[in-house]
Amino acid sequence: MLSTLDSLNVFLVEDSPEDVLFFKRTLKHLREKHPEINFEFQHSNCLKDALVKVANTSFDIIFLDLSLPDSQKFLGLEKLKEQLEDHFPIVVLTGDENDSLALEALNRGAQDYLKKSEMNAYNLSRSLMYSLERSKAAKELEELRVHQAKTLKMATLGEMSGSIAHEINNPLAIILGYTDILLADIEEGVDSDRLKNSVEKIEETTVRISKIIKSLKSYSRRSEQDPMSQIAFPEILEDTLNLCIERFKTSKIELKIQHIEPAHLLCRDIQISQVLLNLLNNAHDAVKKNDKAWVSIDSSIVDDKLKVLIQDSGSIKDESVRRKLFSPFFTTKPKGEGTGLGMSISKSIIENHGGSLMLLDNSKNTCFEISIPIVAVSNEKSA
Amino acid sequence: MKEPKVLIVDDENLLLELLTESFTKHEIQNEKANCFSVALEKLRESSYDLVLSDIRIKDKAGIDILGFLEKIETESLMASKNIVLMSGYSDLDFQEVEKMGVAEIIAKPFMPRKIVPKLIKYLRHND
Repeated sequence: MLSTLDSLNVFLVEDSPEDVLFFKRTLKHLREKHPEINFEFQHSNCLKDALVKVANTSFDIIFLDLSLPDSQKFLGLEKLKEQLEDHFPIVVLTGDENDSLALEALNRGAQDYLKKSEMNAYNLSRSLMYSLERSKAAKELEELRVHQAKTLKMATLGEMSGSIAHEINNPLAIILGYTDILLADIEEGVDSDRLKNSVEKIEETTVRISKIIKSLKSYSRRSEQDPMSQIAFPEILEDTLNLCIERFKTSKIELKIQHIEPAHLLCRDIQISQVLLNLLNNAHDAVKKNDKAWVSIDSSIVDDKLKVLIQDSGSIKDESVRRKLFSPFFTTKPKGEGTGLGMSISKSIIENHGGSLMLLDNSKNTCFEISIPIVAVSNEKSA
Repeated sequence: MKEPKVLIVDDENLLLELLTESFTKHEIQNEKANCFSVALEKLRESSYDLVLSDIRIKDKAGIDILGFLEKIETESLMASKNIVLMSGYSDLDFQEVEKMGVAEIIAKPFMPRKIVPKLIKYLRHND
């Protein structure tokens, strides 16, 4: 498998000269076994120097000693990971015969570990190959998740297409009706006040449709690469409600809009809208068959963060459901109805905005809390 | 012979106004209701020759279209069975609705100028 590579840039962070020498010697064996691969090798003996090298060089794999003069345990791993892309292959080297430290490193994002006492050409090549493969698989999974996030967005739209059609056809019926009256009135030569009334109704109703289309258009376009922009929370909520209010109406679920904070967020508004829509749709589906069903939206500001509570008249009693709620591919919906990705994607969107999304434990009803940093707005209108 | 009378049911007030106006223009007596519950009250009070109703309506008592049609059937509220439904879109199985004795389902949007004369024919046909 290693032979599929033509070059490999290896970086070792290790302070013990003997261990560096031993590593180099092992690498030399590997070179002899794989003459087709152009191995490059660099080395640092402390974290500080390693961080500089990582910033300036593009390595393929890093071997990191967990005990360095300026870094103990997982500090080095954490600092390096901050500078590298997600899932970059880092293999930790441990002199410890105890596996627990190494296992903890895997939990913290290392791809593999190698005991110095077991270092030989075979183990090194196995670890190289394994880490590179694992890293590749993780990246592919990430790409798959991004792709599925897009699919999910479209599936949500699909589920709502019925209500959207209804929502657009109703105002269209009003417009057609008034143009009808206008035509008849013009033929009959009616006074201009009546004509004006019809035209005003047509105008008002057209604006209503265009609002729906606008929400739809912004929701369905690609938003992952949008720059963050400052936008008022009530605007985001209004755009979201435009898309789902009809669904609640049809299912006779009371939608209680409580206090809405006029707070500003620095965000990708379409993504925030996507999260709100997902939570509202989930709440809708959870209570749609119940009597006197309701869903409420409330908000407040606590410590420079906007807290949005989305609550419904149902409750989640099953502890295992509560635990797995945010796991990818977990769904309680019938087969074919839910992708099981909505909650995990929502969580990662909010976390990418420096916030958190959780299910509140101390609430009688199902209640999700979004917490997201707000930005101060001066009195002058800001961009 | 008494004058035919139409009951229009929709939760879009503007649309109710429009349809009322169209029927009035054709000198057809009509009443409006903005939900199924109000429509049922009216049907119990007086007899109508045609009910024109939207399929999806937010009802104050939570009745849906199937409940509405069932009440009309069990309480024998419509002698003529002239029930025409309007729909912008529906998840409902139209066959299920038609089984409930509905004369026709018309799609929104429509032009009152074209639809209303067609509906009036139902009334004449029934005379």
